[in-house]
Amino acid sequence: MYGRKRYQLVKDFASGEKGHLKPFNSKLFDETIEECDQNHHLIQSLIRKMEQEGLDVHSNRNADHCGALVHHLSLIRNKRCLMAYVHNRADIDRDLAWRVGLELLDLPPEIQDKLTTLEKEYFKNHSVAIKSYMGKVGIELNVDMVPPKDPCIKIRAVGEIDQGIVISDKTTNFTRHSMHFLKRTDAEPYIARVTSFTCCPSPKTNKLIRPL
Amino acid sequence: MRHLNTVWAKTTITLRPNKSPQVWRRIPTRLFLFAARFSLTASETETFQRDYQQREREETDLMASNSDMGSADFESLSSTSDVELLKRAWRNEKAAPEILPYEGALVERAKGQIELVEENIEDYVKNGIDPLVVSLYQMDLDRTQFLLRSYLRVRLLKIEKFMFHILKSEEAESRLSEQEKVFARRCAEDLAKHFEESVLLKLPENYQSVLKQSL
Repeated sequence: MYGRKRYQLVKDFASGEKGHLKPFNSKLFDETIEECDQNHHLIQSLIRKMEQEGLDVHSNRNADHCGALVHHLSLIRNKRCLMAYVHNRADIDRDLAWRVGLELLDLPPEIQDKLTTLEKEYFKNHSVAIKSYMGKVGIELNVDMVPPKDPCIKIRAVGEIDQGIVISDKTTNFTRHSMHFLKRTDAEPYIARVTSFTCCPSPKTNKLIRPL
Repeated sequence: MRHLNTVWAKTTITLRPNKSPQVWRRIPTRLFLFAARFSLTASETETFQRDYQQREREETDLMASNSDMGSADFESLSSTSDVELLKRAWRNEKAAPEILPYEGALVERAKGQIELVEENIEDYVKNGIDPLVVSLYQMDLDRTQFLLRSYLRVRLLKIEKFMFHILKSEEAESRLSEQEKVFARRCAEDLAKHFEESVLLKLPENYQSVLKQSL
């Protein structure tokens, strides 16, 4: 009865792979909120009924009071599940910001589709906070995610990429199946984008670089 | 973690910064690996080895002349060099489940030394010193930079994870640096705003608080 929808919402979130987003389930979300409203109306009506009968709300434990308690607890549970859903998605958003890039447009379009406008706002605000911290400390924290092993890496471009990408001092054309010998610091953002990309499977890929 | 340790064991390099008197690091012991990787010829490895041994002798002489120390003291001195301290702080921060006190002075010193080494490397490149040597210095610089960045990053991730708790507890807040406190407050505001807009404003009145279940 009460709670089926929030249970489905939480299950929906948990059924996705860990660390990956599913599209925001607005239908279930809105239904859960409606249920909260219903619960609240029922609580208010029950309390009014108790007050009309002249009984003190807190001390008398009659049927109405128990009913109001059940609605109250159900509402609290709903709130908790909704907040957990939003909170976990926000965790994944923050993780994306660190792994892929701080600009919203750096995210592949498949991921952008799965975020709501509110989540995109949150993503933007959070990356602004990170950028301002990095500016104050004077060190870029977004690079060097893995311990550096070699100064130069050999990479092969497996897919098609826009032409004419500027990398440090020369322009490189990442045509399909071309091998390049780049500095590690230059190649890293592209590799990061790809590893996050392949984690969210999609039928079309237009940017694939694999480090050899 | 283990991989990183062995990489470090193989590849610390001596630096002789002209300006800062305090930084000494361990002398490398596995230069052959580098020689193999960069495929030097036998004569080149010999000259390199001779250079390195001579440099080692010079340095121990310099160390001995600076202060009368035996080799045991040299060990203890190099173990408290800034890189070692940074390594220790980084390891502690990575392993600890909650945020540890901020090593402000260490971070400042590390930043200063990194800039110093960058300038040195530019000078070397201009003077046309052997590119192998330059690339070794560059790699060492990269590794130190990674340590510093990773240290700050781990702290930021912990703040993001526990932001409400840190802002509530005085003791935890005292372990942050000034900029981290600003960051924590902004993070918490952003997240609270996100919660309010997505969930809380749609709920009935008494249930709209971020931190309490209901009033």
